[in-house]
Amino acid sequence: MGRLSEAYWRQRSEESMMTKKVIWVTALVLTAGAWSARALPEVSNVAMQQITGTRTMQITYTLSEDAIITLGIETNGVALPDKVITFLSGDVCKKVDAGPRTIQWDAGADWDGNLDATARAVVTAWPTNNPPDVIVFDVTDGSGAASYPVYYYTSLEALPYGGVQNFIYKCDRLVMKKIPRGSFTMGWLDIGVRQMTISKDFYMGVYEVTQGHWYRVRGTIPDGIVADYQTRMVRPVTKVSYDHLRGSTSQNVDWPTTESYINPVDQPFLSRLRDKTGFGMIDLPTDAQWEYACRAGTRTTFNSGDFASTAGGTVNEWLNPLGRYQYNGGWVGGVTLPDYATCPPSQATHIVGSYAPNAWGLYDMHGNVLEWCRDWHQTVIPPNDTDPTGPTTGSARVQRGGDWYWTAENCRSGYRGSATPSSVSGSCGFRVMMNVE
Amino acid sequence: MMEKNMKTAAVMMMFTAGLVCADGPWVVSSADVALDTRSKSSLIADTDEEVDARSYTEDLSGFSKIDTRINRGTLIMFM
Repeated sequence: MGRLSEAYWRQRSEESMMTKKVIWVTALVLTAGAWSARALPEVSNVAMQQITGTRTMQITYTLSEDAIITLGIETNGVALPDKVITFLSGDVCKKVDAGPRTIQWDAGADWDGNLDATARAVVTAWPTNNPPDVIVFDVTDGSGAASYPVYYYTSLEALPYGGVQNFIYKCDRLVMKKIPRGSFTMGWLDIGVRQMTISKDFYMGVYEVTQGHWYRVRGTIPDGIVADYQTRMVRPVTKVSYDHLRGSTSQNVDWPTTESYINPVDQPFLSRLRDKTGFGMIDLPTDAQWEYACRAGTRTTFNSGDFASTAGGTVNEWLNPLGRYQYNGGWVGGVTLPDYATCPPSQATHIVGSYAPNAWGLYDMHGNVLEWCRDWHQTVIPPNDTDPTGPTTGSARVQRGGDWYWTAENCRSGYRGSATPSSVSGSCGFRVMMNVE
Repeated sequence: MMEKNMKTAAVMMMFTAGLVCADGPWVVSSADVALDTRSKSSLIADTDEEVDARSYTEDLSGFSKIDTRINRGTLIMFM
């Protein structure tokens, strides 16, 4: 009995060892396969030196795969703020091909009057399917350009020329900010709310698209628009229909469903932007994406997160710092409407970015102009859902955010308006969003 | 024993899955170097001092140190 038992346990032990070996070999093979298959861009040989007699630093590195490159600088192991690493040239802030590469940083312009013996360059390679937080489309070259340069930054503070408030970003460059995936409560309490999940990060325009952006991309500006000559380029574009942006089923130019339009003049704004930037996922936000981005984690009436805020009354102390609406300059009821062609920013639409941003850095989510969304409008409250896209048919498209002509009530985070896709209004514009595959 | 092996396999598979899903950025730093963004006049003065010192020892042993420090142009001319 004792010998049998010993043989039995020896056999069990050998079987166990064999099983363990098989498991380890399998796991190692899978691990090695995964390591080689992931093909992440890798950076090596990073070196920095000051160019003699100048205040410019030269950074060299080697890149294994095409990637998006950003640069950080540390001194004494502490990162310098993004806003002092902006005068960059060379192979940085854009998609860079594999190989040996060079960056130049004008440290004298960015970080004047310093002497440090522990400066360190930090080069980051981002996979093209996982870009950094800020993407910028440079539309300066206008409607005739074959393509638009695309730049990448780790934050809004890293934008050159003093940051996002520079008019260059309100006219010549479109700035997109990454919105992190998550769940939120959509709607408002006295009407009804639903739990929605946005399952993927996406990018949202920091500003409403301005007349300057529109002119650069389309080469024209819609007639009868709200703005005076001095400021029109940095105020939101209006008098654009949903069909101008995404194509029209009724006119048989149903882009992007069919990828067709009659001729380049009729090419919808978003289609043109896709073609010239190479980003095939540029679009309008869905209804849920818009509200998620507007709220930026808040559940309050407006996106400031102030639990005391309400939307009632005329002049609204909570909305005043957040956006242009009827009672903070938009239009004083009972008085003649402002002259659309000449009114300054003290009336009607304001220059984008003139009010406080939300927690994710988006401006004018309340007021200024209504913003077209992708969904067909529905009168019933949609069910709890993940990445909802609305009904498959309808007669009107969703508009969000309220506008300069409306009261605070209609500018709240949960308010939803609508209009027929072909309609235009002096109080409705749009904001661009983008998925990254 | 089998239970232990299963746990081992699970850990390895989780590690593997993590690698497959990993798509984060790759970050590499340089070595520490000196960075000087003081005024350009400081930089030029520093550079001149270096040039002067090298020239004095290598090429202009008979030239007065004061002269080399004052006039870099003269140095170049004599070199």
